[in-house]
Amino acid sequence: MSPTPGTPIASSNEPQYVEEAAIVTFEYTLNANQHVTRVPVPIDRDSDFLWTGLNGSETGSYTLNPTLPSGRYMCTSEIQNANFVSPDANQPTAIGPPPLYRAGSSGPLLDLTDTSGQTNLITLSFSGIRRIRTA
Amino acid sequence: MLAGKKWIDPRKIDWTDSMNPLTGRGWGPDPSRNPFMFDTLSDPIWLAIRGAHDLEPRILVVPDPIDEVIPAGQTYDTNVPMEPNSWLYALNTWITPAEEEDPANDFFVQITDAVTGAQVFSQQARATNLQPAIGNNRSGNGLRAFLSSPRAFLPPSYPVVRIVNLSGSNVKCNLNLFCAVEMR
Repeated sequence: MSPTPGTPIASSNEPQYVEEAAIVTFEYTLNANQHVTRVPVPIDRDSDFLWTGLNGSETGSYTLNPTLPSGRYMCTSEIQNANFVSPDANQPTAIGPPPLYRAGSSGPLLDLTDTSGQTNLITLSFSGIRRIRTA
Repeated sequence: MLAGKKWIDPRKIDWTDSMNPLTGRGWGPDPSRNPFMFDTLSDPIWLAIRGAHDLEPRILVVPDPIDEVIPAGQTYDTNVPMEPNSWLYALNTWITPAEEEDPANDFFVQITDAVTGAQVFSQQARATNLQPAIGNNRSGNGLRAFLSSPRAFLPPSYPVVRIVNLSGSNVKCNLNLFCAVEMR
């Protein structure tokens, strides 16, 4: 069981944290059929980020593959956005088990490929929990 | 109205657990939203996995790469290079061109344990039943078809995927396997 969001963990020997809901936003424009690799989704420098959900919008189809904190790719090959990115902000795709990206890290590095054949504006919301060390 | 509703203290929900059915992100404590997913995520094996350490999410994409074209009427078999100690918990499919563009486009899938021969489906399943864009159900966690209980592939086992292209044209048939991998 995690601590209650927004409530410091009381302990004299261990670091103290505050957890709160967070959304890391990402926006990128792909040219027609463009393929880019390892595009960073920067994580705030003051807090770790636990990625638990993903939703977004796009103007055309594309494929993607994010990296995990271990540096490995999450997918064995780029996956269709329609199979992975929820279009509903109130129902993000649950990412599980949730990966924890360290504060100040590049976050999930994204490989992206446009498959629409047109300029493609991609917006992603990485939702999850922000963990801020307070002591 | 509320008499039949069980009170859930928000402070007792583990919000860091993305697969906690009580967090309400897409399935929620209201079973009417998606009782199947709610039940799946309440399964004892799921509870154990969610409480385990050193697990990573992993998505196995078949074929690899996904733009491989499967000829009309052809059967495509492949051994999926799954890492040892992986738990398969959900899957979904995609076809290009989409079925909306050509209703004849469809394919069958089957997933077989390479060692035990156990199959996920009693017979080959129609991809449209596992496809998020069909039936106007492409929403949130409905993106994936959750298995009723996670399925373990222990060494030396791995999944063998069969895709049968039913359409009369050459199309791209994708099957994605959503897994949790033990990192120890």
